[in-house]
Amino acid sequence: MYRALWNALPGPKWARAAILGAAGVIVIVLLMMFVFPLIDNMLSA
Amino acid sequence: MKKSRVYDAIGVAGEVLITVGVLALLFLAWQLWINNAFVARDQQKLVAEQSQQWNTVSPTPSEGAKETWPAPAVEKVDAGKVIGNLYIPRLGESNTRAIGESVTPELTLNRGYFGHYSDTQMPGENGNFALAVHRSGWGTGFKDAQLLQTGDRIYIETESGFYGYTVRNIEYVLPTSLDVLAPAPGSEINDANQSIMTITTCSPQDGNVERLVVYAVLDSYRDRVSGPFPDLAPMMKQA
Repeated sequence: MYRALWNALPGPKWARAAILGAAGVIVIVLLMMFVFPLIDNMLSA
Repeated sequence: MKKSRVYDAIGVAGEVLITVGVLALLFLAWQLWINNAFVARDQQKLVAEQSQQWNTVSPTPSEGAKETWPAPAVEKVDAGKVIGNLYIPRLGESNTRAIGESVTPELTLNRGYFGHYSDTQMPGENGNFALAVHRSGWGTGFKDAQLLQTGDRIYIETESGFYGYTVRNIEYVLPTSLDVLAPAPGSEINDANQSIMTITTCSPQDGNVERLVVYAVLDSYRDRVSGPFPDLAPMMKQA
């Protein structure tokens, strides 16, 4: 799964690593701002 | 060829499981530390702003300050609105939180407030001013509630002045014990004419098996002109 994702990214290694890093940061921010509060509200309801 | 597909499937399943594990750890880290820190910071900012807005006089006790008795009753507010600021010196000088109307998690508890059970009385009224608060996560200011002792002071700051409470007793009850919200909780040692504050929270710290209940009795009040109680002033400067 992650290998396929890595292969699908364009550019040299450093560019792929940068794209993945940026995507990771965006995913983590979205999780912490929206997904986790939603899950926590559901768990505490 | 078939064998290779099986290996691929196992590999993907392993990666999915690792991803789920990492997400669960991230969620825990968010719940216990990250969100906790952000909400706590927001609460302290809110308390400081609210205090400044109400503070028509300096937050230093004026000389010859007098306590007024009986304390005036605080007016009811709409759900989600701020009733006052809560200060508990025993739990640290920077430990300041706002009290919000209602115990609906999205409105108050999950935003770091002490939430007021709307069916109970208000400060200054005879009866029970009952509050709920998270014990862990959500910027709680009550994590170390077990440190409270009989005789400790708790203060509420409102627009009109400062309400001083003294901790009467602490008990552990089952979550089903709703009598802690009665106008005279713990009736054996209660006077129906007293103004009680009851704070309920989960116990143990990261569990939900019991409720830790702190009862405090309103015994003093100072208006804004008299200024805050001497041991409250450092906390207000900190806020």
